[in-house]
Amino acid sequence: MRQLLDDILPRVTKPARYTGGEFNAVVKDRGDVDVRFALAYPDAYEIGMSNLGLRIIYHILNRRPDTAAERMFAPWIDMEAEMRQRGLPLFALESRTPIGEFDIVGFSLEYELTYTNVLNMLDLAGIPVPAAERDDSHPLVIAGGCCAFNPEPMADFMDAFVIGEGEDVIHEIVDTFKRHRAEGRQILLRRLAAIEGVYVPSLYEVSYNSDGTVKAVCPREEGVPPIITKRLIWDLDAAEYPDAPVMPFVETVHDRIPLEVMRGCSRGCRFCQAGIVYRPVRERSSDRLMDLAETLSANTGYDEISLLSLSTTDYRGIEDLVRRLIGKYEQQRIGLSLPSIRADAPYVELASEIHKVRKSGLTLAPEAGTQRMRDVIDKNVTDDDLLGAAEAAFRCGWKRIKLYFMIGLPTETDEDIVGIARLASAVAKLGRRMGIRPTVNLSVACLVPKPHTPFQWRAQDTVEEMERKQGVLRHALKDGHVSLSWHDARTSHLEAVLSRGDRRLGKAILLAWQKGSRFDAWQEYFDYDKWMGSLEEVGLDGSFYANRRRDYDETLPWDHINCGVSKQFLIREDKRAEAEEVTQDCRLEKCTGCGVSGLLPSPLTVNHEVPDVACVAEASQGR
Amino acid sequence: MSRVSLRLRKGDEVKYLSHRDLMRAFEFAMRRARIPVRYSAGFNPRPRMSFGSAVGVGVTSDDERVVVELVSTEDPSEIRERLNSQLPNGLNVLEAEAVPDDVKSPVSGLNASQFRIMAACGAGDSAQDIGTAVRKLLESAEARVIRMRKGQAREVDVRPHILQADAKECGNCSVVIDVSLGFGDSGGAGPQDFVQALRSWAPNLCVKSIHRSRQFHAP
Repeated sequence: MRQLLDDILPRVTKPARYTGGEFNAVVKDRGDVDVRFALAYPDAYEIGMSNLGLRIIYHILNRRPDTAAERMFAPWIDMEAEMRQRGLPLFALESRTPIGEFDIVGFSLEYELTYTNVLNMLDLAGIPVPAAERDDSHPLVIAGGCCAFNPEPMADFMDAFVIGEGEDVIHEIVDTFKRHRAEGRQILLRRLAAIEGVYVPSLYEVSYNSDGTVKAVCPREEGVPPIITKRLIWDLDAAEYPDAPVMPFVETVHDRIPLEVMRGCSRGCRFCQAGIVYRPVRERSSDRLMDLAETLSANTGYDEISLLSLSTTDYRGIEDLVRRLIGKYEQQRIGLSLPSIRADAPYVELASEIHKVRKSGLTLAPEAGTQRMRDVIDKNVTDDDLLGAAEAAFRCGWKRIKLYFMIGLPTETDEDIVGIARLASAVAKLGRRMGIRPTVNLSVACLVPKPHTPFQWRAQDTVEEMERKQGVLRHALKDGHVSLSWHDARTSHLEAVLSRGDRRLGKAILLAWQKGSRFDAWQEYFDYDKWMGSLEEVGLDGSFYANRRRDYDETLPWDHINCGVSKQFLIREDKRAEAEEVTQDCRLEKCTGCGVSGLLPSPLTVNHEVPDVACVAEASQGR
Repeated sequence: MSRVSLRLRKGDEVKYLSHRDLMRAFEFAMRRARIPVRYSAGFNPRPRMSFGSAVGVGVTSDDERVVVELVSTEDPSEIRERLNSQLPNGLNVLEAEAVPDDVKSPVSGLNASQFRIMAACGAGDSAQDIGTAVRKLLESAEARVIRMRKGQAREVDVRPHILQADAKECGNCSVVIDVSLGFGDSGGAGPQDFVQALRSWAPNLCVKSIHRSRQFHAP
């Protein structure tokens, strides 16, 4: 193995991706543990190593004396070619053990365009790609992450899915595995299916209507739950957190201390899947965050702390937290960063205080170009807010502003598209008026109406329409200080197909992989025609999944997955979108009745400060 | 303010680190060890440390040099211990010594490296043939090799930088080649250049490992 690697590694790019041995990596002796767990991230090392979920699970599993967790990532194209040519199986970084020798392989599914990499990694590991072909000699293959909220497209390849947050359920999975591993795969799968939040797709039958829509997803036998409810942790302060993360040798996407300040978001933007499936909002206390920052900085040596969450500026007491962190770490030359800020002047001023010296670029996300459009998507930001934020940014010393927008939103007209250009040049003009030469980078994505969002019934624009709208925007833009970049429309189309699909899609994913698709998320390797050909060959039509308006009473392929937010709420929100009515943030105004409080533990006691006041109020009313 | 010169080992575990990866790993270790390093002034302050000539990806070394500037005077052996407790396996400080104030740069005098290349002879060749090849190389006035740079091939004569070389048989069909190569402002040769040049006479030479034993000053 070592000699083989010595023959291969000098020939591949970034060989340090494959060597392991990073500081803080946990290497255990196989004789000392009962369960060997391979954590697989189906993308390049630099991407996977930046993922917080992977770090959390790695930490939690390795804290168990009976379990060894190791990491593996998708080998880059050149490495794969060498491995296949020399018969080197996929191995884990810590012990260089072939993945096939592990007890459990757990994939992180964070992005649909990594699906072919999952299949490829299984194949490189010598594990049968279809779950149905695996037997007791193979590892148990499971998956989690945000894509698991519609597990169906990957159902053929997984023995089980974990829905929701993994901190608690991962222990239950390992314990159940230990208890029942000797009884054979079929029994083990049934025991796993009994764990709340675990979905074993082979135990469910999917039936279809004559028009191709899903009729039902039903348990094949008694004792298998018809609805799988997501797992979540209520007390973030009590949750384990990776306080000594592995330090990658190669530079990664997020090379800084990840400090997760809260989970969930109550803003309610109607396109945002994370904003729904990670409800309710739960915050870490600032004392706990200060403790974590101390341990993390001592254990990593990073010079930057990133305050992570879906909307960090909504953290209650953010100013106080920032002040405490700056006060403590400025002398040690440890900086702070916010991944995104709300387009609102006070937040920009806060960000300015944070990025005291390095003002490389500020990102604001108005998402839509007109007030009408922003009301439709429930993005409660006005033109004045945005211009006020930009004014504050220029005043505080930023010259480069990045603006995120989306096109393809429901009810969108060309006027809304032109509004994006108008708003961007208004920002640039403002900068010029303030006497600076601003750079405004417009980044424009195409809406993917994701499962579990109010827009889940909506049709995505066709590729042609998305490209036409991109053209409209390009023509409307005449400001020399505004540059434009957009997401590829064809990539967005495939993203919609894969995220909104049903179980039949597995055949197309398999075929696309067999034809050579992998690293689809990387533009240089994305082959749209290969995908469309694969869909056609297995008798599927991408537009059926992406471009079809669905009825509210249609059974959606993910209806058996309960993320806590009720369908009634999503329908109500979709109707309010149509009526251009905004819904207020439930942490600022009254409860919107999204239903997530139904997941609150009963009796209704949370052992520290109540996580989300609004939710508790809703739950008490319901009881 | 003081300066400490460090000699690092780059072992087998970390030999695939690029120079940049290695600098990063070292910098993180410095911070974890809370070494009171001096920072540069300016807009984007950086820790003041300078690395000497580095070995390439895949090459191990017992002599990588770093000079670190500190805000205070510290005991070099304590710096060594503290760093060694924070460096990843395979990377460690072998030696640490204070740099006298009147020395401009302790690495500036170094202009040559000694490498040990372990190789298998390859088809049809014996260890003696390799020895002959090394001798022939040393007898030649020129040693032209092709270097690739940004996709462009360039031919260079590396013979002036090959100071000394010696091949010895080492077990079954293996040879160990000790070679001294010069480097400096006027160019230099790396072990890969030497191997390429040697292949003119020993085309089947199969390199198993390359290790830098030491850096020194060649008169």
